[in-house]
Amino acid sequence: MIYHELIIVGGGLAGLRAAIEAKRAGVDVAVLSQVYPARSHSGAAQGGINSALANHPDSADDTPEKHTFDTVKGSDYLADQDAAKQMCEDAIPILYQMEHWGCPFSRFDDGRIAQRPFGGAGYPRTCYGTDKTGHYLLHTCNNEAIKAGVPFYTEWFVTDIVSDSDGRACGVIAYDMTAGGFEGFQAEAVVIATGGAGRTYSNSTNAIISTGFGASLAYRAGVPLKDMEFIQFHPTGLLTTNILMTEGARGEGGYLINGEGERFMAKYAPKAMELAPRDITSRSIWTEILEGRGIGGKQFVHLDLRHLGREKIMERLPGIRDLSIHFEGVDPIDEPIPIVPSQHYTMGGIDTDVDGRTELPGLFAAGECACVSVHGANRLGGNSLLETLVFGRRSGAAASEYVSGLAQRRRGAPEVEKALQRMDEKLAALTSRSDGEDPYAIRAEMTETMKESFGIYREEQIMQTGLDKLLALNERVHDVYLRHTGRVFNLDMIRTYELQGMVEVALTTAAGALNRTESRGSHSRTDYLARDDENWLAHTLAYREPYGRPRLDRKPVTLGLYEPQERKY
Amino acid sequence: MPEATFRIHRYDPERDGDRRWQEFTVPYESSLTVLEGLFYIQESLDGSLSFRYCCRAAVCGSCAMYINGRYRLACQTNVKNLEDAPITVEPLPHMPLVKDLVCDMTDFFAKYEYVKPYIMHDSKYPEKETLQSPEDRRKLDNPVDCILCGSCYSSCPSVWGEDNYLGPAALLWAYRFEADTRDEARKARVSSFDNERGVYRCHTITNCVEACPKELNPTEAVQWLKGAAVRRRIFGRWK
Amino acid sequence: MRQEVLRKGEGGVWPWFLQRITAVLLLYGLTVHLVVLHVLNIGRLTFDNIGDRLGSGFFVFTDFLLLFAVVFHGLNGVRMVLLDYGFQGSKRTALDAALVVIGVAAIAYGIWAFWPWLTD
Repeated sequence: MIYHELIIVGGGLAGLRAAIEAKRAGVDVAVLSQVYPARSHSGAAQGGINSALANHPDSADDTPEKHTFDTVKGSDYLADQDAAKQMCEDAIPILYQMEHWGCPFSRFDDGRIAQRPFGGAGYPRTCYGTDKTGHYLLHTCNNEAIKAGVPFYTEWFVTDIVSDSDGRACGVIAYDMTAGGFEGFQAEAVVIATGGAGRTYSNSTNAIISTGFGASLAYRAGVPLKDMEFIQFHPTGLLTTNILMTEGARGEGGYLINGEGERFMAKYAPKAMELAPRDITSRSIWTEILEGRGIGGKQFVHLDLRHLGREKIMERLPGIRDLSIHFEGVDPIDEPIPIVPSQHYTMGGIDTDVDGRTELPGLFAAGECACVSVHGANRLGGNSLLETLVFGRRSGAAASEYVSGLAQRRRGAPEVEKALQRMDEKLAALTSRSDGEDPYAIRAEMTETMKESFGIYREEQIMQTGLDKLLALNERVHDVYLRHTGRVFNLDMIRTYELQGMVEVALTTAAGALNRTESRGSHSRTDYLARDDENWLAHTLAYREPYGRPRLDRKPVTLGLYEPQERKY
Repeated sequence: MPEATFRIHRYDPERDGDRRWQEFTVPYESSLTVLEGLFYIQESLDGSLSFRYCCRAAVCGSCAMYINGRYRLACQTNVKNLEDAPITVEPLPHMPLVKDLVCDMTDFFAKYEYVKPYIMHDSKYPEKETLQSPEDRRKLDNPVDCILCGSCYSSCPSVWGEDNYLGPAALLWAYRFEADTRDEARKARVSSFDNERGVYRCHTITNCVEACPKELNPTEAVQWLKGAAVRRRIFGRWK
Repeated sequence: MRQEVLRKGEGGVWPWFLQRITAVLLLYGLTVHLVVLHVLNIGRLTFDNIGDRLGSGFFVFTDFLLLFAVVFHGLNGVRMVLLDYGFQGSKRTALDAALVVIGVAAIAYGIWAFWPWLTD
């Protein structure tokens, strides 16, 4: 049994930023991560991070208020406006702090942090380090955590969150992958920062570890998941692998070209063109493809960078070029890149306030696994890195405050011991079966169902079929069996175990999508074409029910700054 | 349907630590990366196979392996670009083993942390960003793309011969901060690498340059650090 | 854990730097050697002619420089190789002492061999 005052689950940007904040507040904090923290999926973010620094010559009069407005408008007015305002105000100091911590941002000639235009933004306010901004920020935070002396438990896979009889989070159970074995962690508070649920879809740009399992842990602990039906599809994923091609490629002037050789975005967003928000751009591409104007009539279009020239591509987008050469065999200097919209981001997540608090005292969440909500129905590019840092910091501070404010330390809740025993029993049951359902077949069916039934365009009948399939899978997933029962680095066990959480998270997406009878942001229904502010200007809350299908509830959206209007770009 | 044959290094510490080779046949449609092949094997042929994975887009550094006699990222290696069959997959050589294709990276990360891989800054920060010219930023182009995959470290003969040599990756990161105009570490970091367990153990063998999947150049960074050590002693210049 | 071990092994900059300096001196010596043997004409090659040349100030300077450079470069090179093979602790002290003895002996021998041309 190990004790820390504060346990952080997940070593991505949000987790690390929370850990640094807590450590410097004098709290005994530790980070548990399935991979070495600098390998987390935050590192795959490419294009940049939004902050109204007003460094770009065209953004001299940019302000956090304008950033807030763009974020709210981009969210199709589903974002909580106080939260969005908070994020956009915190964006400026947090960006400078990352620079002071050594983040190697690209620079303008005068030495200031470089900015580029991004989709849905009124000004060029996306700060970047070439096209590897996430990688640079992640390493900066990882290094700062080393400097602060944050202890890492690397390659520990958290399997459970434990709460005590008073209804407070009091620890976690984790699997030590390299040593092989389960261990209980007792704590006063827990922060979940485990990232999105991209891998519930088969066509995701996300890392293989972005399964949504962390969110499912909170969900099982009784905390609701919010707005899970809003799934962002990135317009430009590589055709064969769905690997991300940054929005920065269009920010630097790249074109989207259909099978007839035209820049079709002129039809859908005549002003913003390729830099319309992601939901609109993805729908436009998908419409082109559905109407037979993909390249050669097939299911992809081209991202054309050739006119940018070798020099600009090498300087601003070197990573994009490497990826398309290695994974698609296409050099963007000479050829257009074949791309297809791909699942990219989970706008929804664990329901939290602006300080990461959840309904369960002592349990906090930050980053993509959480939903504050600042992204509403559609996230703007460059706001996700920002969210991880701002709300990572805030939840770290709030959790520290919570821990320091406790009347007494429990130092060892007996519930963790019991949960560890339960885990052993669960595992024994799983390993004793020598026959049953194949977990990988279930995984494949689930991800295909999500792609087919809850994709860019959604429709009642298709979604109903999809939901039924998921409910059936949710039954079958409890009859899976393990092919390998060793203790050390057992992928079979991890991947089987996380699958149960993935199916539950997928169910919240499915139920929420079927329930929401309107089109808003990324949730685009062919049977309800319009946004319905009268009935649906509200968050969806999904609570776990023992029989599988979540219980849905609503929560009002915080307005107050901007009245909902029609979105035009 | 084309097929690829994988010849995979197996090691299980729970089974008397035996090391052996095992062959698997993986069918595929048009394209198959080595990592996809490993997943196919783990899912459909042998659930006991262990390997590291995360981003599958060559930015996280998890799946560095020794494939057909070269250091490669499994996710970035397409079987159609490999000439020899079967495809031989080994964990990073010269590293302690955990299981199958997973090696123990504890020492690697301990050495990385030992060089104090973070900005040290004593003077007051400006209210906004510290200014840095694009030319000064360009000096960091080489090291900042490092993904800590461990290929260079595993490939370095000086590491094989001396357990306590810091190795190319840690030194590349030492360079990354020593060369950064914003860093004011002065003596604080130098003492970790300016010695025989640090830069002077590098004999410019350049295996690391050959091995790096991101095409970085740790050797050049180490040479810069050696030069800086002399400049510091003779001219008192810290950068 | 490992940090204590890593902290051992200070120094190394001067052996490394001098190895570079002596390498440059060896290049200089090689150049002088080639130029003298193949380009410069001192007339008939006799014992006296060659002796005069060896006794000249330039040659005395160059020869002594080379003597020190060759001895240091060679022995330090051997030392680096052996250090890579794990000569640490008392073994290393013994190695260093042996190399110093060999070096001093080699230089003394060089000076002794050269002495007749200096006193001529």
